[in-house]
Amino acid sequence: MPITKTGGSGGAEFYGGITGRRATMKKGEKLVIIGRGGTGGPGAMLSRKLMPGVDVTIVSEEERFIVR
Amino acid sequence: MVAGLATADSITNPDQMFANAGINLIKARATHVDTSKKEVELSDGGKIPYDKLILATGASQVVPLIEGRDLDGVFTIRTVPDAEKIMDFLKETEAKKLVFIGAGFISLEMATLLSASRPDYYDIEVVGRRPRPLPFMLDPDMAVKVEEYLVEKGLRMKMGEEVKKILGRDGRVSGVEFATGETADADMVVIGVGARANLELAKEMGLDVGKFGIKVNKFLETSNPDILAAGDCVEKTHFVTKKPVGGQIRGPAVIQGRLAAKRVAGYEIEFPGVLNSTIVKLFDKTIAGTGLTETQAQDEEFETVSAVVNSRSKHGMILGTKPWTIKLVFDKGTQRLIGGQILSDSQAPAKEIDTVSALILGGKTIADLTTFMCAGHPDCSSEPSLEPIAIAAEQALQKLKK
Repeated sequence: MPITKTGGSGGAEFYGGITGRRATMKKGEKLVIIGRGGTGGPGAMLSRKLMPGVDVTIVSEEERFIVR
Repeated sequence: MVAGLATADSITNPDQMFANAGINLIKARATHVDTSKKEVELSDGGKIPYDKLILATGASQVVPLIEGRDLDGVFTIRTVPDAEKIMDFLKETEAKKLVFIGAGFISLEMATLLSASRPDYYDIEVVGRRPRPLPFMLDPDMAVKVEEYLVEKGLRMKMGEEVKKILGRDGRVSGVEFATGETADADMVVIGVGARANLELAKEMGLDVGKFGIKVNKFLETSNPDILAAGDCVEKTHFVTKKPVGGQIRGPAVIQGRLAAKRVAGYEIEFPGVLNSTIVKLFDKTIAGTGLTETQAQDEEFETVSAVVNSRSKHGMILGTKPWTIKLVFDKGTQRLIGGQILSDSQAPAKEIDTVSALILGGKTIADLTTFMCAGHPDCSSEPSLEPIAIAAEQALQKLKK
C-alpha cells in the first residue's frame, strides 16, 4: 500500500472541535504506542494532553528506558 | 552513569509519571500486530485493540561480526542495563586496559568520562576505521584538533585502523588484533560503531521498510494509514540532500514522538527532515555539528565554499575567556548555508550550533548571514566585532570572488 499524504481516518469529527486541524481521533478511541523511550514517552505524554478523552496505552518490555 | 555522574533512576522515565498522567503502561513485548483486527498481541498472551498505533520501537547497537565479540568483558553501550553491566565489570575486575572500537561520539564520550573518573588509572585506546575521530560531525581540519587534544589528555588514538579479532583467554577478553596483524592488550572492550533501527515488528506487520528504517510520509504515517512510526526506527529524509538517511539521535527522536501525537490529534504539521545535529563533551572541550560537513557535501556533489573563524566566549577584558572555533559550509551554487561545526573550550558557545541549524532550516545564504546580528554582553559573548557567524559569511563572500 503506498504511503498516503493525508492517511488517517478522514471524515471523523474534529477532536475537541478545534478548527485548523484534520479530522482524526475521537473521544473514547484507543491510541496504542509501542515503546516508551525518547520517542514513545514524550509522544504518550503529549497525546494525553492534546486528547484527554482518548485512551492512551504504552506497551514496553524494558524495565527502564533512558529519558531523552 | 558509567563514570558515576548519574544514577539509573535519574535518567529513566519513571513509571509513575505515566500513571499520574492517566496513561496505561503495559510491561510486555508486542509480539504481533493484527492489522486487520487492529489488535496488538503481547508476550504475556494479552491482546489490546487500537484505533491508532504509533510504533516507537527504537534502535539497537550494531555489533560487527568480529571473532571474539561474545567473550566476557566485551560490551556495547546503548541501554541502562548495558551501562550497569559495564559498571559491574569494572568494579569486579578492576579492568585497567580499555579498548573502544569506534571513534564516534558515544564511544569517545564514554572513553573520556572513564578516563576523567580515575585520572592516571585507565590505559585507554580508541580504534576508528576512518582517518579522524567524529567523522560524521567534523571535517578532517576540525577533527585533527580533537584528535590531538585527546592524545594530549592521555588517550591513544588508533585511527584509520580496524580490529580484526578480539582475543581471549579462558573465555575472557585479553586483547585485540588489528587488520595489520599488530595486537594490543585489553581487559575490557567496548564496541560503539552505531545503531540500527529495530524493524522486526514493522516487517512482520507488512509495513514498507527502507534501507534505514520504517518508511513514513512527512506526517510520520506509515504505509498503513492507521499506523504511525517515529524516532530511531524510522527512515528520515536529510533536510539538505532530501535523500533517505538513518540517524538515531535524541533530538529527532523526541520531536518525532511529539509530532506523531500532534498528528493523531489532528494537526497538519510536516516533519522538515533532519540535520542530524549532535553535541558532545570530551574532557573540557565541547564539540558540535549540524547539517553536512564539507566532506559529506562534496561526496553529495555540492561545490562548497567554507570558512573557519576563531572567537571567544566573553569579551577580551573579562577573566575566564575561553576560545572557540566555528566552521560554516555553504553550497556555492545557491550560496545557502548547509552545515556547521563548532569546537569550544567552554560549553555555552557550542549551543550556537542550534543557531546554525535554524539558519540552515531557514534557507539563509552567505549574503543573509553577513548581516546576522547577535545579542552581546561582556560576560556572555564575544565582542560584537568578533561574532563569528557574520565573519565566516564575510570570508565566504570574499572566497566567492576568487
